[in-house]
Amino acid sequence: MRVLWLVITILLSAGLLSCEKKEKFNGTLLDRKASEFCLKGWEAGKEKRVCLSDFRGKVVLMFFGYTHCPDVCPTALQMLAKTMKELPKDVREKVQVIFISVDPERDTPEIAQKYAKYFYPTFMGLTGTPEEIKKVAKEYMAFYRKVETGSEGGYLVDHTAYIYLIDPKGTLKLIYPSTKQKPELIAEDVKRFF
Amino acid sequence: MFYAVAVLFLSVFAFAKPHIVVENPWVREVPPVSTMSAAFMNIINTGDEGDVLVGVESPASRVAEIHTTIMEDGMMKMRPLKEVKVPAGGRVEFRPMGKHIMLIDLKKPLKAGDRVRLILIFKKSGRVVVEAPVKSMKMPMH
Repeated sequence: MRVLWLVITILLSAGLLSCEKKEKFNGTLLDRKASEFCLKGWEAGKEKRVCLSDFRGKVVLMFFGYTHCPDVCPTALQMLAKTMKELPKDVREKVQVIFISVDPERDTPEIAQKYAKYFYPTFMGLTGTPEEIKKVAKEYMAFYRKVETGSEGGYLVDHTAYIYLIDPKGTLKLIYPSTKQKPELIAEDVKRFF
Repeated sequence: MFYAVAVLFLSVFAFAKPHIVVENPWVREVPPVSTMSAAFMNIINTGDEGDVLVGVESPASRVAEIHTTIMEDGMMKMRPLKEVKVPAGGRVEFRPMGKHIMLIDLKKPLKAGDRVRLILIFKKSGRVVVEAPVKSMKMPMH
């Protein structure tokens, strides 16, 4: 009888442990199908069509921003670059960071790509027509709007600043605020998919 | 005795003035395609009278503006500020995700190690010139 209890206890705790390991993420769990999109990227000196489904089998970390933004966007992309460096080399190769410009009027695919690449060599910058960007942003609950503030730098863009994690199966798994975010926590989550 | 106290009081009153010290200024290195950057620093007023930062100039960009980043309704917003008060004995931090000096239309790309001259214009202290190094936030590749 005592042995039986012991076995049950062991099984229960093992079950609890594995459960915890499976479900406990640092990001907020969304767990729904990631909407497919195709946008314009830049490769080898020319435009290239890039679709989210191209990265099936990889973890995609996605961020919406704009290159005229001197504070929030560099801080977020810098944080994602640190996330990459937190990962072991073999995992790093299975992660694609995508920066989507919500300022297609000023950010061409070339500018978006060069901007993203500055932070980490494999980062990808994408943009599209204002309609395409509007559609993608809506599907990911990313809001943005142009505002005239009287700044000499032209209009500013208010935007949500979340980081989206899409798992290797194409599930929009997790979401993170980009501000005050610890790269090691995202890295920890990424490692769980491999 | 009364006279001495009065003189002391008057002299303090007469000499009350702000004294601005700028600590740890730096400018963020940005991707070469970017024509905007931001400068950060701490502004300390060790004097006994408040002062107000009313503008910034820099030879590195066409315009420099005081901006702040705020989070409101889940949106990140940047807004220009007309002025920033620096109270007597006070300290104002310009840091990433907060107040910053926005350098608009950089004349040339800024690289880590470059130095950028910033002229901070105060209501009472006048022009305070600062040399800010350009810093990369990137970590060395390994």
